Amino acid sequence: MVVSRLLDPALLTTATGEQWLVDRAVKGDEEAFRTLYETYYNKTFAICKGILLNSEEAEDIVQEVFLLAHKNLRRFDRRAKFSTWLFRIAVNRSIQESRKSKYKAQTYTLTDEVTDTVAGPEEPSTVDPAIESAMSRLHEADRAVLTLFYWDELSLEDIGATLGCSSNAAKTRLFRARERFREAYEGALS
Amino acid sequence: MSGISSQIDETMWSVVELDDPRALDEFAARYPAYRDELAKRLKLVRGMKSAIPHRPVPRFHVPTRGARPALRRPILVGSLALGLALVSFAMVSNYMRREQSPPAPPSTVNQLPKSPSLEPHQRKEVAPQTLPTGDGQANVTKDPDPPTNLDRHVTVDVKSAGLRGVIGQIASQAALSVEFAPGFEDQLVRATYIGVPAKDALADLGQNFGFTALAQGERKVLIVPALDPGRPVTTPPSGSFSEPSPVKSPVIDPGFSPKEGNN
Repeated sequence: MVVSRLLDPALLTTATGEQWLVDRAVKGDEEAFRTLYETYYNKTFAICKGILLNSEEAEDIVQEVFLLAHKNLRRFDRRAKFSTWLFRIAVNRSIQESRKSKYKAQTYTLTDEVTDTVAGPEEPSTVDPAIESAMSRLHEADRAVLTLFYWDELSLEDIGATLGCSSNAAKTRLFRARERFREAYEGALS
Repeated sequence: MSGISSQIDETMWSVVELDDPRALDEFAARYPAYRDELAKRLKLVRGMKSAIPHRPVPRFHVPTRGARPALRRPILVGSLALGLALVSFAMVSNYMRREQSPPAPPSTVNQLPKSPSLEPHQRKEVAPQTLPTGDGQANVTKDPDPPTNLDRHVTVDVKSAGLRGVIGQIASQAALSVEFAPGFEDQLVRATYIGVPAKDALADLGQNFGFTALAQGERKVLIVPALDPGRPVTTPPSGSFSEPSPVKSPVIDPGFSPKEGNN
């Protein structure tokens, strides 16, 4: 029975709408899960791209993240937000992949990234190269918190829930990551 | 950031992240010394926000439920069947090996065949030092070794006691010292031996409660918590002995033994 399409799209991002979709998805409504996927695809992609700094890898990881979420949906603790649970999987999986990439000695130069970002048909064409450069100089954990704050526009509470820490700890992490980002950005400009 | 108080620093970040012209103007007017820093941070935050990646959402192919379990199930069933087959094979081959092994030689000394029960509660009796022959007569075989402390007759009658204690009683009566090998497990037992050689009592206990008594010279016995099923039921030169009768509450009455009866 497909009923998720009957839900008002404005409700999808609310906790109630999200919970309703999760309930439907757990009961086997694939359309409900597809709606969750379409709702959170871009935010999840932003997290993966922000941490991995590579669009193709990020796309692959996003698919993996949603597959993992689909597979483990029954284990999802309903007291939490589905989005923070999903983003947590995305952060962990991306950091894991990023570390793996380091071991493989895969390096993405600034030129490669900028070319990829600017020339890619779906990417925004006005990305400041210094931003990319500064991001590439940061640690994955710093990139994760910056991505969650600036790209996904999560609250400190949600960032904390995603990173598995308190909102105060998230604030501290954000402050430090932002400071290192500012330094790296200024370094990239000079 | 060095040179800027933490309060101003935090306010500046809040203002640039809000990106409200009025708030920016207000901050710049209030802290003119930080106009440049404000402009730098505004550029940074705007640049970061404008770099949000967007992709057209590709179609998500929901995996078919039960696809993986369907794959796993035959593997699981196959593994179980294979395990079962291996266990069955091992059991059958073990049984076949036992069937094919030659019977113990008749010239044994300490074979203790089951005797008819004398008591109403099914306690079985074992006659020591007897060996049934083919014609049904019980022959007494001679112990080739001279009498030792192990041949001393002991009497033990306990309704419920620790196995270690019972062995200790037997050893004490036969003036033997006992050493228990590591792994020996004590357990509650009921045992009645009346005037039987210590070695027979120990062998009978060992057969029933899973240990082997090994003679270490004339006055010492080592209790090893294991049975050797392949060993013939004889007293080897080393002096160890056992008997195969599985009697849980053994009663050995010398009156049933022709040898004892002759005495």
